[in-house]
Amino acid sequence: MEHFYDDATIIAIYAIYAMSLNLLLGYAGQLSVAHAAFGGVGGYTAAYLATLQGWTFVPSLLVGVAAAAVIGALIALPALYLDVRYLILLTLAFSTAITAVIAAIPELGGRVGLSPVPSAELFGGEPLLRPSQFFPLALGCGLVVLAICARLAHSPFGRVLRGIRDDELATRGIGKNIVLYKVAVFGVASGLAGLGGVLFVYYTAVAQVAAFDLSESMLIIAMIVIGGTANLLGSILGAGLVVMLERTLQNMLDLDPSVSALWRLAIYGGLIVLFLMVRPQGILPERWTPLAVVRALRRRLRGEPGAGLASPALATAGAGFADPGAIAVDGAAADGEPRPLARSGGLGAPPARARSNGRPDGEVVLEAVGLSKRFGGIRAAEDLTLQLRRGQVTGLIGPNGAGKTTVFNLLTGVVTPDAGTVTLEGRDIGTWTIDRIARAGMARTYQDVRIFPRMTVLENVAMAVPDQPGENFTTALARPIASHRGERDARARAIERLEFVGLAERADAIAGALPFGEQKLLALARLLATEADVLLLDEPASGIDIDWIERMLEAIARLRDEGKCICIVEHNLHVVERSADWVYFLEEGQVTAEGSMRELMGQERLAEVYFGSG
Amino acid sequence: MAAAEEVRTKGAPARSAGRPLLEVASLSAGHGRRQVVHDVDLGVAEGEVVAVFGHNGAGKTTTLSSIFGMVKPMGGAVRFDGADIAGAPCADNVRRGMTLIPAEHFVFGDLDVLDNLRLGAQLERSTEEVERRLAQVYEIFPILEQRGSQLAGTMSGGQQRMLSIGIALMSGPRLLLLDEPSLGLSPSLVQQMMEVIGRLAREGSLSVLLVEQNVIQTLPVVDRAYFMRSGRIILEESSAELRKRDSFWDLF
Repeated sequence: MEHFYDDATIIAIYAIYAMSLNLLLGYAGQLSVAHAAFGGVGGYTAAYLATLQGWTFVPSLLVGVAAAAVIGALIALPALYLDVRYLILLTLAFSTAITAVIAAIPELGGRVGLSPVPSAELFGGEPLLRPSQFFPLALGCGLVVLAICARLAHSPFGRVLRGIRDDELATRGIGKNIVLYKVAVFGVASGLAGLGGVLFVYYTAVAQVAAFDLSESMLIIAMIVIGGTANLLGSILGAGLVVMLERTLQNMLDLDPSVSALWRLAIYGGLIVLFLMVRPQGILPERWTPLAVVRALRRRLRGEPGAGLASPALATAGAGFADPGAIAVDGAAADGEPRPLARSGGLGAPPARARSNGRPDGEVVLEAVGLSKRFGGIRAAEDLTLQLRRGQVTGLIGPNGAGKTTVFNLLTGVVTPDAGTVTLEGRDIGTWTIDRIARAGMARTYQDVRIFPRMTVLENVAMAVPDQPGENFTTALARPIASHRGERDARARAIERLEFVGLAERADAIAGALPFGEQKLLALARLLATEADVLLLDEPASGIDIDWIERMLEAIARLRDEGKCICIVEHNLHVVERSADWVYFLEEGQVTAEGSMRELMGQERLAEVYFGSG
Repeated sequence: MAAAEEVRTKGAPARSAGRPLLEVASLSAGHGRRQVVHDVDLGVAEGEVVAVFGHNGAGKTTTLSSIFGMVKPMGGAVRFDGADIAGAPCADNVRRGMTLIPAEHFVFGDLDVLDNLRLGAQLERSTEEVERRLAQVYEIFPILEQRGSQLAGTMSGGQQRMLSIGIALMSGPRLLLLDEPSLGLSPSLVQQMMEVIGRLAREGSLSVLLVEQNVIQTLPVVDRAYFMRSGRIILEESSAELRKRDSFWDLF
């Protein structure tokens, strides 16, 4: 019986590791190979306090967890804007360094380790000596970790984490300050890893570097890959499978401990490779829950159409995360023909507007003056001045390489100008960050849509709603009711935006599985959900068919009539002519002409620039 | 560059349309779930130079790549010299006598000029034939012979373009597919480029299908042109007709 409790305790400890790493890797997309090392920080801190300072269990556990959390949050700082490859290198370096440092400190026992760590005891109670006594403690901690991870992962906070995973730039572009999220998720994940480490040293009565080295981290990653990324139940399952596999192998082969370490690395490395090739989403894919299975089964029993695949929980089954386009959806969603908008405002013909030689009046919402930017020797923008006015569509046109997208990048903070000012409703935003500019009321779409492919349509839009209480870390964790109420509001507002673009009935589809035309409309709905006043649309009509272009034009015209301030970059001049009230002509980073599209088309020099290199 | 010296007289090339070489019917193509080419019909006759014009993102390059087999068509028919080649791999199409010069990354920068050219004739086993083609390329582009041992990546943009055509010619093609040959070149280099293309068609009995945004400088060498907008062909017209227009704003 003690043997059973021993297995169960070890599985509970590894499940703590795996769930916390899954929060970081599966949800936030941050691949850390130092998870066991953070466990080591917690474990060694607690072991030091208990053996050398005579602390009791609970205080040393709390300090161990705090130490791991703080160091984890610090590691997040250099990782803030790092590409995943560099993050792997950074955490690899941390893992190696921390094990080397611990092994080099004589007080911590060097290679031999710190022992004996006294038995755990709860508030002066009996020491938990046997596995059957320790197991309830490990299980309790495991359930607490599950509750924390689940609450964070399935709150608006967790949705932003998944946004960072799917597309970091787009997440910043809808006004989310990813610095806070990354620091918080690294801190939480590392702190919970520290908890795993503390339990491990108390349970085994020894703190040794071998328990926290790189091969341990690989073992935890293997658990997640096998169990399922972004699925917490999968992490528990993965921990159980891997621990039992390891124990079975050890009993069967009866290996020398020094050789068995090498075998472990080979086996778990091999398992990771195998799963990534055969079933990259793991045994339990993202969104899989027992409840979803029950619902799908019930639907199938009732014989409802589309049963089984209609539930988003199952829709992702069988799809690797490398290829969002391969995700299966219910038959109706595949390659749908555009349907008419909910409200058919007559926009078949160009808007009838009195055109004078001057620009129509309107409040100037955004003004850029003298913007310049050089990349090496290339002049991307030179003394560029333009105005965007309320209730107007402003077009930017020009030959390839004229710097149209650079203008958007300069306005939205993706690129900082070398000179010049950008004023948004009276505020100088020239040096602001992308997310701050978005919160201040200017946001954009992208040529290649940049929707969040692994999220549902509704989640894509709901995430862009500003000021959600549940996006705050402590609210998400400690005030579930406030978080829930905020989420209800956000969803209601998201549905409104989806209704505006005519995608409301697609709300539960996986965004990556939509036809491209619908993805473009989804990107527009997401942009509207930010409540920005100034909307920059980068090639809204590119890559979509005529019917979709009509829908897009109709939406743009309605937004203009609602008083939005819109700027479009578009190569289809027909679209520009039909939608833009005022057009700037760009050449080599400079505005060389402005006027209505008709006026510009009358200028011979511009034709030469546009259709040949005159 | 010899080609540069021989300034071609402007005016419509009075070539009678020969036998149809390339016939494309109801072609649709795209990337992943994203269809960017819709229902495209076009053709190139033997010895003809045909252009596809259109705005950025109109689907011109995807049309070219799906004809050549770099992108698998979603539907429609592609016939080359009577044979159905829709979806056939590029290597097969090169053997059939078709070759494509991409808009970017068209030479092997770390190889010298001669190796670049020889790579173009990879499928040809007869060394005599390779030498014959080499001589032909050198006749058109004497500079490539002089620069034989120079690394291609160290040549100017214009020279690399010439080399890219040389590589394509080494495969002994009957149809050349050219993706934006003017991209990144100064107006005078574009002019040289277009003159070479015209000369190849005239003297080498080569057919050319090129896609371009630079309408003005391309028109003098083409017989016929199509305009694409948002993935569809919106106009087909002879070069002579097109030159009568005073602007192309309506077609972009």
